[in-house]
Amino acid sequence: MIARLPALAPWAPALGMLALLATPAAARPPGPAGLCAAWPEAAACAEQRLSCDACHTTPPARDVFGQSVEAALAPGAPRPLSDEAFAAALPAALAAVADEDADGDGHGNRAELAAGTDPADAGSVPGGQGPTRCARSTNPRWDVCGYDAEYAWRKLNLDVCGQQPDYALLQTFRGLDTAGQDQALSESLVSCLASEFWRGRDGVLWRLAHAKIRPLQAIKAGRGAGPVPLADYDHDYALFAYTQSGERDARDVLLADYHVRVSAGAPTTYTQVDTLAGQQTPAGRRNGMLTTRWFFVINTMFTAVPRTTAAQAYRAYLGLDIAHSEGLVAPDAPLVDYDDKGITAPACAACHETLDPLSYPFSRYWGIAGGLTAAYDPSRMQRFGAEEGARIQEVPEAGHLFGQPVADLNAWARVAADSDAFAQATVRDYWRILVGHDPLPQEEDEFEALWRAFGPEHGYRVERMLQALVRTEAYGVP
Amino acid sequence: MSRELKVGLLALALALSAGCDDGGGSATPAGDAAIGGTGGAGGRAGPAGGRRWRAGGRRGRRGRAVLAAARGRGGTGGAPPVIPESYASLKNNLRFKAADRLKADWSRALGLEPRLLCNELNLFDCIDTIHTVALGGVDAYQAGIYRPFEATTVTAPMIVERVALNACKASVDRDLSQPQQAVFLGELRYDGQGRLVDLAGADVADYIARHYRRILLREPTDAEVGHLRQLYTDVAAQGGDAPAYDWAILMCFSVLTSTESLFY
Repeated sequence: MIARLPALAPWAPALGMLALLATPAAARPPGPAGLCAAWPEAAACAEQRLSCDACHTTPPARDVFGQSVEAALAPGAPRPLSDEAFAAALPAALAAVADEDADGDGHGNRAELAAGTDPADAGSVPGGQGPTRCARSTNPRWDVCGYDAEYAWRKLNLDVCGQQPDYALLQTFRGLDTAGQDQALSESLVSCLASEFWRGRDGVLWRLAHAKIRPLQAIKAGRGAGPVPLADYDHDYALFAYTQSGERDARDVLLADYHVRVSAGAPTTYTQVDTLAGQQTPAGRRNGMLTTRWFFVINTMFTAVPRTTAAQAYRAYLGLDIAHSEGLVAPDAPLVDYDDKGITAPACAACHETLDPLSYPFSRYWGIAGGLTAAYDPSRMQRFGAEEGARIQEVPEAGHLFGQPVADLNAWARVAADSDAFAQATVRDYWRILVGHDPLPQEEDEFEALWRAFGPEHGYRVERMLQALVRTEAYGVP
Repeated sequence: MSRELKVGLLALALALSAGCDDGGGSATPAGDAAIGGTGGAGGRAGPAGGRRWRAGGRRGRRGRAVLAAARGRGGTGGAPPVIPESYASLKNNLRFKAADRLKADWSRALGLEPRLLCNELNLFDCIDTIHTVALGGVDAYQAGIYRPFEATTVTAPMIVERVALNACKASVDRDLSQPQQAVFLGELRYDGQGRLVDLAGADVADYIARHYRRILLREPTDAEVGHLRQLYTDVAAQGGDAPAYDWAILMCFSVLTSTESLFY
């Protein structure tokens, strides 16, 4: 129980049910880590995104590559293998199948993983998919062999404005020379990025934020409040949309020390403010979307060690899902089981070595706690009793992110915002919206160039990055 | 969206599209050139004519039968059109417009406010409220569906049809009841019996072309115009009270639900 916790509202017991919905990251066998240790050149390892999908369809079911590894893994040894036996046998098994071609597409397994293609999918091959010849079409409507400015322009209007241009405007566009069409592309993008369809309430930016915010109307406060109003996620949507628009630094999504008020009706307007009703975190302890009232209510809830909160931050803003064994980077420090959850067991430690140090900087922010909800409290851990764990009060505020020590959540957010993972995750979000899928192997070069330019060239401005994105071959070749 | 379902939805849209450019349909009537001569009694009807135009019953059901019949007479016998190899895209990245883009783009194309496209029971917006998820949208706040399904739902084609039919009816009704705000009507001539005055006339070709320009942003081919003229003949043969009205809705429907309109 929480000692000296302010009295909770009468409906608090019902909220206990919500706590059951919290999904702690489940431990996984050390497969991804073992594969990355053996084949560090694998593209997904370099991005810290290698997951169970490398060998499994839906674990424990294996794809054809996983079946090859399984056949070569400690042959004759009784199943199931312990995690220790699995980890010991994995290097030899991988060596045995490295040059094999599980999916029969003519490319070896190891070469495929190095190229970022799927060794279990014959349609996924290094250097591109499908036919490679390009016959220039006599169809005047499309240039399927090169960047088709009209195609890109019409698509841009649909993706960002929600609708095509009208016929007369299209005729005008067709009459422009190459430079004129390029200029029109830029101007249309600028115009559409200011549209209600893109930045307005329930527009594209709001929809992009859904999986990050994970709204639940039943506990919403403010406009359209639910029956148990705990926090207003409109604040989160507003902050997210604000940071992604108006030529603002997108890292503010993790660094903002301000709040954003959204208008009730259309056209949607966003106003930066210093305070908002219900937001308790002092400015010096604010870190954008990571420290809103809603974020702590929906993720931390009643937990002492806020692992779900950290895992959601890692997933939503850095694109790394620990539940899929992504982004596992164990710091050079011992793992301590402060809350007696058994996390030091080898099967659990594979993930918790990353997750727990990731969580500590979030531990000074309350979840659902009556008048303290979402407040920063340096003494928070001292308010928990021994029933939460024999060493619960020893949980440090300092932790690790990407194996790097961070003193508190401010430092956590700074390291996160400046990381390659943040640039990749942000650019990937918009790539999915505009291109319609994750970067394909043949699109990886363009994708990498885009996220690498996000900071140095685009100044973390989404608008500038999108100007480059709509000029990629991935976007503009029909 | 899985490739199989994408292809399935695409095939359905193709099948619904009476105006496919397969080159196998009826040719443009030779009478096209002589159109301007008719007029007078066949001139555009006022509000009374509009009401007369809308007098037909059970139009939707009859219309679908006519579309099916028209397909049966198509030059390719229902087989998908043959696309020359040199036209193929190596990207093959065709995307369904899905709920929000469908709504915004159809609203623009038909010149209707988004809320007027389709309402179930005249109360609930078909796209925003009732069929959002099935059309590739999300229901984040109530159902916790934060991302669209990767595959198109099995009901999506039916919902697309439903919305398109409602939207086209609203568009035609708007043109008739508010001629000064008409988007498509132009100089289309119909008589007191709700029939087109001259099917081969330039006014009919222009009416068809207006739909292609607004919905597909291009001119129709001769074959497409021919198909849609034939559609009128088929509709009129059903013996309804207002064949021009029925045809106008179904012609709009066929263009709006074409592959070219639904995907990008």
